[in-house]
Amino acid sequence: MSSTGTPTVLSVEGLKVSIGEHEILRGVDIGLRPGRVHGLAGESGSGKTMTGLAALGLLPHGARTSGRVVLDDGRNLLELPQRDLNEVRGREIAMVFQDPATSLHPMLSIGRQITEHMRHHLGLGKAEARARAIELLGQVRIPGPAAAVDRYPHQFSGGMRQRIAIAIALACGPKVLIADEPTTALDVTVQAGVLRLLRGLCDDLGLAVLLVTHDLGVMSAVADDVSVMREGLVLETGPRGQVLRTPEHPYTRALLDALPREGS
Amino acid sequence: MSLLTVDDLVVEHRTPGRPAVRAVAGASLTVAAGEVVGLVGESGCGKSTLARAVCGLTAATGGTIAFEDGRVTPLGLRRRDRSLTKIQMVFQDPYASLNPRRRVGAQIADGLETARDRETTPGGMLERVGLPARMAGRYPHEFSGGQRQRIAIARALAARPSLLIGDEPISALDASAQAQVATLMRNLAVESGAGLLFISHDLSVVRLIADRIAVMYLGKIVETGPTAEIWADPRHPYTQALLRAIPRPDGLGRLPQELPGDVPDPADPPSGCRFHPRCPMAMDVCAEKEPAPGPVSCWLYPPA
Repeated sequence: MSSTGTPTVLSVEGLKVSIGEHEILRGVDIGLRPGRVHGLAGESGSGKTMTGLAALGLLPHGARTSGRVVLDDGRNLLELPQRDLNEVRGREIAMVFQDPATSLHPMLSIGRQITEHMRHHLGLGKAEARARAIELLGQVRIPGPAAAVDRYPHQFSGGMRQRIAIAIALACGPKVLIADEPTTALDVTVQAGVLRLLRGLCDDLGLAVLLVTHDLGVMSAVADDVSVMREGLVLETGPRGQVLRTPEHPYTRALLDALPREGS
Repeated sequence: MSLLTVDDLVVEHRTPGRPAVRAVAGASLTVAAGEVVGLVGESGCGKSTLARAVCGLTAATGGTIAFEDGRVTPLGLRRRDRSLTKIQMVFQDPYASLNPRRRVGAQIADGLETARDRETTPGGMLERVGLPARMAGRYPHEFSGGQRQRIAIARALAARPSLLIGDEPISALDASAQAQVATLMRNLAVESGAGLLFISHDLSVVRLIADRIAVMYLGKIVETGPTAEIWADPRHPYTQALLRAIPRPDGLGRLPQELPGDVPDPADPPSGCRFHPRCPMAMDVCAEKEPAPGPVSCWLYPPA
């Protein structure tokens, strides 16, 4: 485990997942700590997205699992009944997906989408939830939050939509945020803003963030700790500087060498 | 002699009751045979509209598009002019650009027929894009996104284009398939002697495959140059901002620079230089007069 002393809020321990004949994850260990961004890198098919989904207890139908995904109160998500899992999702652990164009509902106002689970999880009244929604939109830096709350997803640009998806994820004050390629669909200039936002939220709110990305540049910019995955296994875990500057595993070195170099 | 010469192209989208939107507002660009040109810019800058106009899918409002010995005329009700089938396009979304109800082999055969090619088989084309020939009998849904885009590339190449256009051909693909498909497009185009106009918002991929880069902002090309030069020494403040926004994998934990503000509404572009409201180096002249087009269209670099 990583060097910092703070206890984990969510830890994945010896997680194995198989679907039919295929072993998707073959023993994954990852610990998420408050105020830290843990980056998960790897090519597609390496199991990084599956690890992110498992951390939410969102595994495909018919998946067989062993190992544990444990919250700080000791509950193992893999053994939790559906009812309890629904209480954990959105409230304790929230998720942001790659493509905000498909993860937001096109026919509901964004206010409705932000307040829906706040009213369910936190039991807030309509007016209270709306006020909190406006506050959240301001927090993710949507201009004119009081008017924006009544608009629909198509009225926003891609970057703004991803900020809205982040506001929805934060609505119930989760401890853990899982972000799966959150900036892959965005322009670089917009990506820069969203990365700054994620880093700021992690620092200010003490969120534990699991950032799944194939982009080692993104990883280097925001992650504190980095794990590199291949074929369902974590090959290397360590502080960002160590993994990206002095990688131990040959595969990590190969990934870094595959990138175009500065000045060459 | 350039294969494609776009000169002062203007494309407007008109909607009744609204001001015309100038998606392309006087853009000039050339592509030579065997050359790969990367057209980059943020979403909404007009790069896809430019590509569609070059292909004849959208009518130009002004300016000219010269291709080989003739001019590109917009597609109408009649069959596309044979000289224009030498321009082929690979679209963004292979889930939408392939017909889900026809076997992929039959769709590739359409391209072969366009080129009156009776020798090559659809299976042979599949092998060129790295898929087994026996898959020609399958339907699009049996393939992954990256494989489908390879099929779309095979279909475009079957028509023996001398100009291949990729309109964000990799942005709908899984991250790790992106570089592979982009490199494949480059290699196949260059091998066949065709020019490639590759449109993407992903600068790191464009850097990997393009010989020359053109940077577009709000309907205009603001800077063009050889890829290595632009990467090492970007001159236009917009190009500089784009490159600064790319996070570097140096392990230092430096957050990339944000470019403040949004791309302005093309229906109501700013006066003078279109980039001046977001430009960190803006001077008085920038708000008043538009800089002349050139390798760098910016008042910091007045034409000699």
